[in-house]
Amino acid sequence: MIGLSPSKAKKILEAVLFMAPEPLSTGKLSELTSLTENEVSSFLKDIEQDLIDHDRGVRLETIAGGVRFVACKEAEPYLLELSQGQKRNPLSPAALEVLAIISYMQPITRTEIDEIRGVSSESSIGTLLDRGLIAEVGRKEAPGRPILFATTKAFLVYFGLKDLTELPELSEFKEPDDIENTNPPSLVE
Amino acid sequence: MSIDISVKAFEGPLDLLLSLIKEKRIDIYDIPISEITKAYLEEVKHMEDSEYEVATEFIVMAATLMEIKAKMLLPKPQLEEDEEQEDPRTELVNRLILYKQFKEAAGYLYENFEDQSRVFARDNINQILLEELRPDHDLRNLEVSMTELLSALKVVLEAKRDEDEISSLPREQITIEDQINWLELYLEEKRDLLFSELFGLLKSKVLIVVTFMALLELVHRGVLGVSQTDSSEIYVNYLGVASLTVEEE
Repeated sequence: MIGLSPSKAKKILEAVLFMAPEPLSTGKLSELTSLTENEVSSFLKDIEQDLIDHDRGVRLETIAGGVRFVACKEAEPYLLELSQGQKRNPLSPAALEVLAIISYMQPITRTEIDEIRGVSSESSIGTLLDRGLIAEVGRKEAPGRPILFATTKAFLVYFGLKDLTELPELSEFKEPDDIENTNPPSLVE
Repeated sequence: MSIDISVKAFEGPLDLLLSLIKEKRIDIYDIPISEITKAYLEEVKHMEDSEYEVATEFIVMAATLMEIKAKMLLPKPQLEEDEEQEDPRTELVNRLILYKQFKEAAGYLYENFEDQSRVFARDNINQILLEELRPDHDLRNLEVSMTELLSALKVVLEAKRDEDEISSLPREQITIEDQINWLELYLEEKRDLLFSELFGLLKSKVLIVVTFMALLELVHRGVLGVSQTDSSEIYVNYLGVASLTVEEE
C-alpha cells in the first residue's frame, strides 16, 4: 500500500473507521495504511471538514485516544427508536464511586479503595471488571502482592473522555453551600 | 413484617456522616463531635430497629466517633510552644473530605454517562442489549461462564431472526415474573434440560430475552443451576424449592 493518492487514502480511512468496532488511534490507522501519523491526522481533518461542509449524517469524533464516527444530533430520536428505546444500563452509585476512585488514584489496590470509602468494594469491582471498565494491571510490591486496578479504554469511551487528563481536578469538586467555612485549611494534598 | 421505608440507603458510614453533616448544616471543618455522634448512633439504632443487618463498618465508625469524643473531653497535655495542638477530629475530617470529593467525581461521571448515552456510534448501539442482560450481582450455581451463556443466548436469538421480521403483531406483554413462574414449574417437571432445547420452545425474541432474565433470577435464588458437559452443551438444572431464600413479606 505504498503511494496512496490523497483521495484514495481518505476513502480507505473513511471505510476503516466506518467498520471499526471501537475508536482507532492515528497510530493504529497509520499502521494499517502505511501512511505516516501526520498524514493520517491531516486526512482525518479533511474528512471531518468534508462531513461538515456537506452537512452529512455522521460526524468524526475524537474520543479515548482515537477517532470514530458518531451519528449527528438530528438523528438521535430515530436511533433511539432503532435501539427500541433501550438505554445503556447505568452503574449503581457504589460502582460509580469505586470507578471514580480508581480513575483518579490508579493504579490502586482493593484495600486502598475500601479505605477511602469506608466499606468493602468487592462486588462493585466485580461489576466494573465484568463491564470491562477497569482491568487488573499488575501487583503492588507490598505484603500479599495485592492486585492493582486501572481504568480501561472502554472507560474513556463509556464516559466520552478523550483521555484521563480530561477529568476535572479532584479539588474542583466542592459545593460551596455544603462547606460553610470560607477559608478551609488545606487538609488534602 | 413491615418494612420501614424511611430508612435511607447509605453507601457506608462516611456516606451516612456526610448526609448528617449536610442535613444539620454543620461546618465540616468544625464538627460538633457530641452532636454528630448522637445523631449517628440514632441512625444506626434506626437501622437495627428496621431489621436491617447493620454492617460492621457502621459499628467501627461509631467506635471511632466515641474515641474522638473521649479525646476531646480529656485535658490537653502541655506542649512546647512551637508544637501544634493536634485536633482529634483531623483524621476523620480528612477522610470525609476525600470521600466527598470522590462522591462528587462519581456524580460527574454519571453526568458524562447521561450525555454519552445520547451519542450514537457503532460500538455502543450494539452493546445495549448485552449490557441490559448483565446482572450486577454474583450468581451462585452458575458453573458456566457468563460469556458462554451469552453466546448460547445469541445462538437462540439469531435462530429467531427470520420469524421476528415478518411478525407485525402488537407486542405481547410478558413480565419476568410470569417467566419465573413458568420456568420454575417447567423445570420442576423436567429436572434437566438442554439450554438450546428450552429456549427453542420460545416463540419470539422478546420472550427469549425475558425468559433469559428469569433464568438468571432463578439461578440467583438458587432454584436453578446452569452447567456444562464435556461436549460443551449447556444444561439448565432444577435444584429445588428455594424455601430458605424466599424473602418474607
